[in-house]
Amino acid sequence: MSWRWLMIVAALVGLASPAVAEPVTVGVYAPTVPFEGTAARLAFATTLARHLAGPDAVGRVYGRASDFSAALVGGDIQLAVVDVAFLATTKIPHTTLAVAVRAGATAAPWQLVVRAPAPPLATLRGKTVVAPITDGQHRAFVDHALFGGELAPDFWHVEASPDTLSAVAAVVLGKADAAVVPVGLALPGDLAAVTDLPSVSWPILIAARSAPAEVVTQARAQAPRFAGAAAITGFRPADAEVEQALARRLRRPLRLPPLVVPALRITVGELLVGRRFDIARPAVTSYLPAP
Amino acid sequence: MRGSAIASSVLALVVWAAAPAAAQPRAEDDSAALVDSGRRALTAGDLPRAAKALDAALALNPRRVEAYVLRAAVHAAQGQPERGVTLMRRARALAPDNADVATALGSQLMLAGQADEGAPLLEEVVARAPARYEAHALLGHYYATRERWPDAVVALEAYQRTRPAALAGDDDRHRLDLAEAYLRTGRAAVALELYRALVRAHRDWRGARLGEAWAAAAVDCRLARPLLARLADEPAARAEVLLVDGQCALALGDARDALRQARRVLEAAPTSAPALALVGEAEAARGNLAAARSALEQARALEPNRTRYLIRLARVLRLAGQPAAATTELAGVALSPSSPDYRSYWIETGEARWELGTAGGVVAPLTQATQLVPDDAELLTALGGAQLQAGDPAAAVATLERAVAARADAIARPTAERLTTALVAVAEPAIRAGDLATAERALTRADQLAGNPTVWRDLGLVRLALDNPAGAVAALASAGATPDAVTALLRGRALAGVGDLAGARAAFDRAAVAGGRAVEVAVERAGFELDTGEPDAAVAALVALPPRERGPGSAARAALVTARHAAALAALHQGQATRAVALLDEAARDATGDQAIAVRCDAALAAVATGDRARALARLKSIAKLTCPFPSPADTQAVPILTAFVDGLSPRRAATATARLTALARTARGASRALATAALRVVAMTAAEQAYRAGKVAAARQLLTTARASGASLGDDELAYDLAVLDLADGKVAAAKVVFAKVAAKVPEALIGAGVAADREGDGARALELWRQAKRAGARLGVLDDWIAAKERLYGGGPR
Repeated sequence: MSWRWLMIVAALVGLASPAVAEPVTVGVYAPTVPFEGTAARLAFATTLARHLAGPDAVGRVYGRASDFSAALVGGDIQLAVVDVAFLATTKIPHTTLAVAVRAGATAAPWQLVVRAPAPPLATLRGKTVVAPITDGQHRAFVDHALFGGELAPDFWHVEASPDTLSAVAAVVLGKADAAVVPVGLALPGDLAAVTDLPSVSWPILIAARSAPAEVVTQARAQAPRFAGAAAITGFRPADAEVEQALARRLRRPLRLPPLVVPALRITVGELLVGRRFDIARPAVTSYLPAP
Repeated sequence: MRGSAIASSVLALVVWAAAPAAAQPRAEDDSAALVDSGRRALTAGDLPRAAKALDAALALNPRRVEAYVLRAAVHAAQGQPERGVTLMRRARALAPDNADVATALGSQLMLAGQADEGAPLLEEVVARAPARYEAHALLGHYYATRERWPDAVVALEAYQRTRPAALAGDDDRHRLDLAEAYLRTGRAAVALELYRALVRAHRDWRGARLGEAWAAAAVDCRLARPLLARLADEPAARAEVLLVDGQCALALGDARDALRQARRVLEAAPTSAPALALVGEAEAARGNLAAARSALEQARALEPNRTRYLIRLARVLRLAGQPAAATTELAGVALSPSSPDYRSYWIETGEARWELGTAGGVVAPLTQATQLVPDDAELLTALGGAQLQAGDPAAAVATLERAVAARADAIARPTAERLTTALVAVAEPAIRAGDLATAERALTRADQLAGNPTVWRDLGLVRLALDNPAGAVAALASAGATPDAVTALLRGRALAGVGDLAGARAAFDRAAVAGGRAVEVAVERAGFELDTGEPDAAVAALVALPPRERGPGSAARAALVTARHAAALAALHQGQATRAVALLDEAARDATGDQAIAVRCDAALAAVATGDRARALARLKSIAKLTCPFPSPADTQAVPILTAFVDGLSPRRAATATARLTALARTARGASRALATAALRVVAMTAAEQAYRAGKVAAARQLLTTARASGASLGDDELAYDLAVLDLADGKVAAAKVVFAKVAAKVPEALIGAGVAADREGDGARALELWRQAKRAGARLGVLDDWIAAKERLYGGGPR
């Protein structure tokens, strides 16, 4: 064996040696998802991380938008499950991989809940309503995305709640007059829904722009096969349109009627005036049998 | 009876005939006195004294002709006609041109049994002197003896007309033969009346009573059977009467009774050929054809010369479906016209050959038979059939109409059917020759006689050709609920002609399921549907044909091109441009000539209407050098206008297209100008809509101004609405509201605009109401449901 062969073999051995890689971290920032508590949230994060990136992967949960943003931008996390409202209002670069599934659907209508009995919506003027939106866009989320801009800007006071269960608890405890939460949540018996509201997507699985390509590829492939607990049971492929649609709804709507264009066929029809069609039929005497 | 009638007649006739007449020159000698003496003695029945006087007269003057005549009469009265013949031959030699002599000689010859010489002599006499009643009488009876019944009728009727009144007392004896002659020549009703009169006058004349029964049997067996029952009690006539009664039973459909009567005869006379013949006919009637044939063959064996049995056997064979065997049997017989079976022989021959289709070969003998037995419906029917099969339907019609006229009562079914066939055979060539009036007359007559599917079809056809659909409907309706394809098809045409479209459609449906003529049926149906403004149904009718029926050059293929073309234009008028394109593309595959150009031009129009810009441009380019069948000058100007229009639907090309259309609109005239201005308006409004959606309200307004300036009459309401929308965008809420209210009935989107205006003014409830109205009116806006849902959360009416 020549010295050249020895060098090639050594190089190949070196390539095949175990690398000392950082474990993949999966962050979870999803205040709207009704996890039963922080432990459940963390368990979900860990289970999902291992499913997406292997046994060494780590799951972390975030309660504040700023912490999550910092971790994502700083490269502390490579994958994340994020509320769609956060993605719709921030410019953080990311790659959309999938959308979460809960109760068999990728989105759920929301509802406005109050202490029973439910009063007319108009009676809530001047009251406090809480929303599990912690990125600072809670007012736009409630007034525009959920109520379509129908309410006057000063109709009520909208405040952020750490998460969905906290929002419900705030109403139960009298700290808030109402809350907006996804439909399907098990409400305490003394709460009632005032009205149903438009659907909002469940959280999005994203990859940080800094995430290694193989991590992104593996996560995209693994996500649909995830089978989780009750809060989030799975994922389906998605693209950025989900976030963009909500982003449009977050803006105060400007309602304008459409312009219309007449159909030209009316005039085209004038070119056909006077057309006559006739199918030549045999002379009646031709039906006489041949002699 | 007949013999005594002849003998007594001869005596009386001769006495009368030999009476002094101006034609007889007389010598002035003693012989005249002797002749007078002889005549008186003859008249008194003193034959010896008459013979003596007359012999003396002849001795004195052997040239006295009347003496010969009277002396011969004495010989006749004495039963010595041979001597009378000898004497009259001498007289004939003396006076060969003397009618009295010829008559007397002829009479003596007849009495002497030398009828072959006597009858021609008497026939010469009556030919020269039709008033020679005595000759008529002798000939009449002679003919009756020889069963020359037509001749007997002529002779005996001549006698009745010419005989002297003094002989009226003997009329009934002559009438007996005359009645039989009538009966034998098919004039049974006349015979029956004569027999009835004879029976009333002579109750003891058995021949008259038999004749009455026979004639009644020939007229109506229901009349005959009571008469026959009375006659059956007379032993002398028992067998004959039973046989006729059996025939009547057979005629009345009681074959068992006929058989019973025949067997009663056979019990007494086991070898009775007539009874066996009756057995044969009865068995045939009962369907026992083998037994029938056997019995008739026995009868024929017993009386081989009796052609009547052969004829009956032939009839049985024919009815058994063996007309060839019947013809074979009949072919071996040669009958003279004087045979009593002559008539029935030719009837049976004609009928058997009719069924074989070879009756055309016996036209001549049948014609002769009808001359000998005139006005015989059965014989005329046979002749008519023969003429028909000989290819002379016109002659057949004439003959069969005679047959119809010969029967005062109901028309026999074979006669009616044959005449109907002949009338059709006359009518169809007339139709082909364009002589529709003749054809209609013939077919109308055929319909009256025995209408059948062919008659109804042809009559309907002729009436349609005569532009008489109501008459055609009446004729074709006779064909019932399940006519053949052609009849159903003609019925469809006729019903369409009288405006019964549902009926016509049902008739065409029937034609389609009747089988056969599938292409004609489909083309007729398609033509009908097209005429009634249902081009899609026309297409469906043709497409339902198997592809092989729609091959190149077929009528169905050409019709399908037309139907698809028409259906496409209808679809285009209804706003179904995509469907129109599809139909025109299918039509284009088989269209040729000018139609192909028209289809391509219209397909380009339809493509424009689809809004598929790329497809429209491609199609417009393909017809750019063609002259389309649009109203001039659009035939040359429409394509450039439409091309610019479609081009202008692209946002980047809108400005260029607008300029191009503005230029085209200036030079365009008529429909082209309308098209150009409309295209300009649509292009400008389309570009405005695109600018508006991009938030470029000012640019949109400028484009709408161009649209307004185009001068088009198209889309004024839409344009006013669009300008109001821009006003609303510019905050001119009040102005916009006015326009929205004005055009809302025609532009439902104006209700959306009015709702937005209300919302701007803080009236959310009104906005909700207007948007709901807009939705109901069909206004198109993707987010309208969201707007309504949002309002309903506040104002109710929503999900909760």
